[in-house]
Amino acid sequence: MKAGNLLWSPVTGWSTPRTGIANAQLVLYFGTRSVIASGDRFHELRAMFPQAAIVGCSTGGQIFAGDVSDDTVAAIVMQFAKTQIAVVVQSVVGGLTAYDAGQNIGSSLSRPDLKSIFVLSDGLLINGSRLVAGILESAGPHVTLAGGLAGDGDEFQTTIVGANDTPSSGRIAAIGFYGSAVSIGHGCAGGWDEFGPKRRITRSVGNVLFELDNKPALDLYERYLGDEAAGLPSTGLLYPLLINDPANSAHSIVRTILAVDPEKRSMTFAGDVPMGWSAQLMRGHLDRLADGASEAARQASVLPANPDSDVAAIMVSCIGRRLLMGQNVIDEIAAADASFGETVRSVGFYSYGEISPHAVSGMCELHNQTMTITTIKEAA
Amino acid sequence: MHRLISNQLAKATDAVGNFNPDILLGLVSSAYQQFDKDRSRADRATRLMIAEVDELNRERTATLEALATQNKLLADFSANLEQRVAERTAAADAAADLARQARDHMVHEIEGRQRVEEEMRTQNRRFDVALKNMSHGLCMFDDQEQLVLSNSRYAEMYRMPPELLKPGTRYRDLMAYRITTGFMMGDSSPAALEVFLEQRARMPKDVVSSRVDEFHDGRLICITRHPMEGGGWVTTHLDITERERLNAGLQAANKAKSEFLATMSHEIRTPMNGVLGTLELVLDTALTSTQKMLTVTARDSAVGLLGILNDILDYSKLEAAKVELEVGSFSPEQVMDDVVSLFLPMATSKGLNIDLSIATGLPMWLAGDVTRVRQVLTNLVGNAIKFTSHGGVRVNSGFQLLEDGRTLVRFEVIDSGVGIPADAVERLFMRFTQSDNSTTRKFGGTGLGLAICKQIIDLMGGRIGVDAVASGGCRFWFEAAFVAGSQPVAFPVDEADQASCQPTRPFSILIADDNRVNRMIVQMMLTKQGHAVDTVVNGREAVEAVMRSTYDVVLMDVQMPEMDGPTATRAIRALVGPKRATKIIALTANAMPGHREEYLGAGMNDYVSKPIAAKVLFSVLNRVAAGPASDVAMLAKTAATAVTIGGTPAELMAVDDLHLQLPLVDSSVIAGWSHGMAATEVADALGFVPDESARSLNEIKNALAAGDLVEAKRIAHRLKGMAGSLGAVRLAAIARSIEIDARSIESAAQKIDMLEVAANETLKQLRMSA
Repeated sequence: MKAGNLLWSPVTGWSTPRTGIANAQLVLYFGTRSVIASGDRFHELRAMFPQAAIVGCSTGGQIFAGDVSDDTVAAIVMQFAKTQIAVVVQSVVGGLTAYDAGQNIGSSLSRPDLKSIFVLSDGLLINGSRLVAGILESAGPHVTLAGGLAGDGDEFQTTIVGANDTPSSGRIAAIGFYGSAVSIGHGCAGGWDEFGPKRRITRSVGNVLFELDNKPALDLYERYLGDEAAGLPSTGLLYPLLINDPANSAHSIVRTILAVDPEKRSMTFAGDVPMGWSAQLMRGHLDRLADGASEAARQASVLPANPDSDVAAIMVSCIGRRLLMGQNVIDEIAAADASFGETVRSVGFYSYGEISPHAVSGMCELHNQTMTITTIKEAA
Repeated sequence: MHRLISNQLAKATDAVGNFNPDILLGLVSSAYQQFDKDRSRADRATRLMIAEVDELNRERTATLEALATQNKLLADFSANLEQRVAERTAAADAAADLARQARDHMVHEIEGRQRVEEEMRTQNRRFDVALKNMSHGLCMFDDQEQLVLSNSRYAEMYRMPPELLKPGTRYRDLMAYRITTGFMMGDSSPAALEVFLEQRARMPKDVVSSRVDEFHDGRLICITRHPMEGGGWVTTHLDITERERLNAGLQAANKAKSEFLATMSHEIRTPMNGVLGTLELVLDTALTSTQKMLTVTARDSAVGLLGILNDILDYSKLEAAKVELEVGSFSPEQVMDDVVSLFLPMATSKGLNIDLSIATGLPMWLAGDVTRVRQVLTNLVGNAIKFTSHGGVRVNSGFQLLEDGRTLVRFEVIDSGVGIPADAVERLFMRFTQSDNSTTRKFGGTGLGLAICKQIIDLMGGRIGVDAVASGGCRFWFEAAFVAGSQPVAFPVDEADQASCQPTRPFSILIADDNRVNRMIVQMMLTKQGHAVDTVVNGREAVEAVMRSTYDVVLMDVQMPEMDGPTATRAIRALVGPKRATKIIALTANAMPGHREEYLGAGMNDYVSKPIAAKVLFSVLNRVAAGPASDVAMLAKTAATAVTIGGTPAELMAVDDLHLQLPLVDSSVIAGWSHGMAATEVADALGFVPDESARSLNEIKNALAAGDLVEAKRIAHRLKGMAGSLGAVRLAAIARSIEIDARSIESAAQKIDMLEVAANETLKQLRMSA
């Protein structure tokens, strides 16, 4: 397998791709919404890689070559030797639920040799948890699932997804990897620390949280944010919520905020916030976040080395992390990069939600506020 | 930081290597702001978190406290619950106990009922046996007049067919059978049934009634009917034919014996009176001391013998049912007072006390035979004194109002004498019995006294008895029921005299009364009026006082010990000199119409009834004191011989014989009424006298022989009236003394001889004067 990465910037345009990947089967691109929404970038990529499936989404920033940038597009190109892929796109604009959409995707991609699925989804209109559940339900338990939800910087207005076409809102695109040759690794780590009292989710519907301990959840966030409450919902990301299934205390998930409704005093999260679960505020510490990225990279790169195959690494990190870390996000990227070998070609983006197997349980699910890393390579 | 600066420097340097310091400064400034923001967020989060944790801790503490409170409440509730459970358990146990007790009680009750039923069965068996074997015929009828049960004796007695004796047979049918078969009243006609039933319907149903039926076969059946509660009755039938035959014989024999005794006594008494009179005459003659001693002994023996004869006579008459009780108003208090006063001298001479206790509220007046009551009480008190040598005698009284309106009066005589052995008590009231034979020897007497008392009290329907007294001695008592009496009607006092209550002048007055209270009251009344008053306690002292001093008036009680008022009055009238004319007013409770003559006959000028009203007393006093002098001429005739005062009781008994010393005839009397009559007319008028006198004399003798004192007195009264109108003073006085004074047959009989002699001599004198 050959992998290569490209960066587009308004000043320089596309960087020059490496050689030997012109017949690539798959191109993934991540770019600021304003830069990719026109479809120009897709067409430019299509021109460069006419045989490839070109799938991309809007983001909260691109990770490329140890740095983070806005108003750019980062792309990774994969040319497989033995592995087959399939791409499916599903729109939820017609009113389809995230779960049903996921089921459709799973059943569309399902084949006995389906090994893994990588999914990019609208980040605001889709309940990521339900989507993951739907895909896994129909694709089968042996399939690993990774991916992320599209972002919209700190705007939280519209996210768009494109699959062999101009990106648009309300869509989910998924790539299926088939065959025994492909080897996909996962790493997922947070580095957030819970603090303050554990609260109980006393009222919620799906991913909409109304009350914690019988008090409006939004009150809690406004109090903690103080002046920064004016920046909701994005400033809400500074305090992700660690939720915990009381029936299984080892299973805890971090949820990040997507929207608020000042009228209903409710908050919408990137995934389910089930009633009866406990919830605890979390806050990040710069060093600890960077350590998390390093840990994720370490998990993802357990694959045995193969001198004949490049490794493609896709970093999906939470927009909340970038919001908190500011310029220091380069530390987490550096920490991740340091874990990769020289053969690794990496790109990444800041998302509204990360999808990856759980570090402990191995179950695939939607994460928030994490850095997830998916590595793809082919056996000899 | 190094990486950050490198990154910032890289961003501040363009592609061609030109360094833009503004960009760098911007990035650096932004990085610092970023750090500041992060720190401030951390601070804020920490502060809020601490605050929240504190708040939570407070909440937790509050919750814990609330929990603790709830726990405590719960613990209390639990404890309370335990207590309540304990209480409920106790209540349940108590209820169970109650139930057990109730059950035990019920078992006990059932056992009790079974026992009672068994007892009832036993009783019924006994009842059946008793019914079958009793000598009485018995039958019981219910309130519907239907036969309930009868016994075999009843069936035998009337030869009843068994079918008639089935329960439910009508009384009427049984009676019809008995009448038609002759077992009823002797009349066996069918009409007799209706007559009987009609009579029976008129009889009171609720009292026990008895009748004796004589059957055609000669049987006497005593039938007693007992009412039952709730209607119905039981009759018992007893064949008394044999018993009555025996009784009749016994009664006849007893009566014959009593009559014989009465006759004998009377026959013996007549010569005894002769002996006594003769001995008295002998004693009046000149005798040597030895002769006098022997004669006195003979006289005393005769007196004693006479007493015995009197007792026998009295008892015989009582036993022969020859005595009828008289009914008159009397004062029980006065009776007791009289009797005690009578025995006061005797008690005093023996060194004994004699007390009287009158029950509070004892009715003042009762109706009964005062003579007999006094006789019994006299006997008991006399015995008490006779058998007591130390201490004294006490007379008590008590009373009880009976439902029928009568008053049951109880008299008690308590002595401190020798007492009576318990085994002698029963015999005590039988005739001829004393507590032992030695008593008679020691104390004398016939032993008839108590038997007579018992007869008298039986006649009154009362009871008599004796109890031992703990301190020695004994208590004799008797009780009888009397109807209420009325205060004797006082003679109307002349209205004209009513005004003359004020004393005309101070009088010198002697009061003779044994009752201290009476004496004191009258004395106070008189001294207040300015009169000079002396007092004495009996007739004898009164006579002595009159002999000693001069009084304008003597107020003379009638009943006094030693010598009564009438006797003392006669004694005064018999004195020699002006004192014989001393005015005497009787003070008497015996204000019965018949007594007026008695007192005036004794020579009293007037009388005042007790209780004494001052007005009446003063009025009478003034009238008598201011009135004409006593009829000395008449009085002189009554006192031909002076009376020896202060003699022995035996001598006093002879006072009656003073009649013998009275003049035979007061010629002024006939002269009074015959004034203006021709001598022949007078002779004609007197012509009936001898026959009449002889007839009366015989009738009195016969009456007395028959034990009929009342009849004797009635005839004596008639004789007295005739004699009085003839001026036959002695005859009238003797007849009067029989009429008034005689308390008994024998005392009347004592006077018969005198009466006869006086009658003969009076007739002789009348013939002579004619």
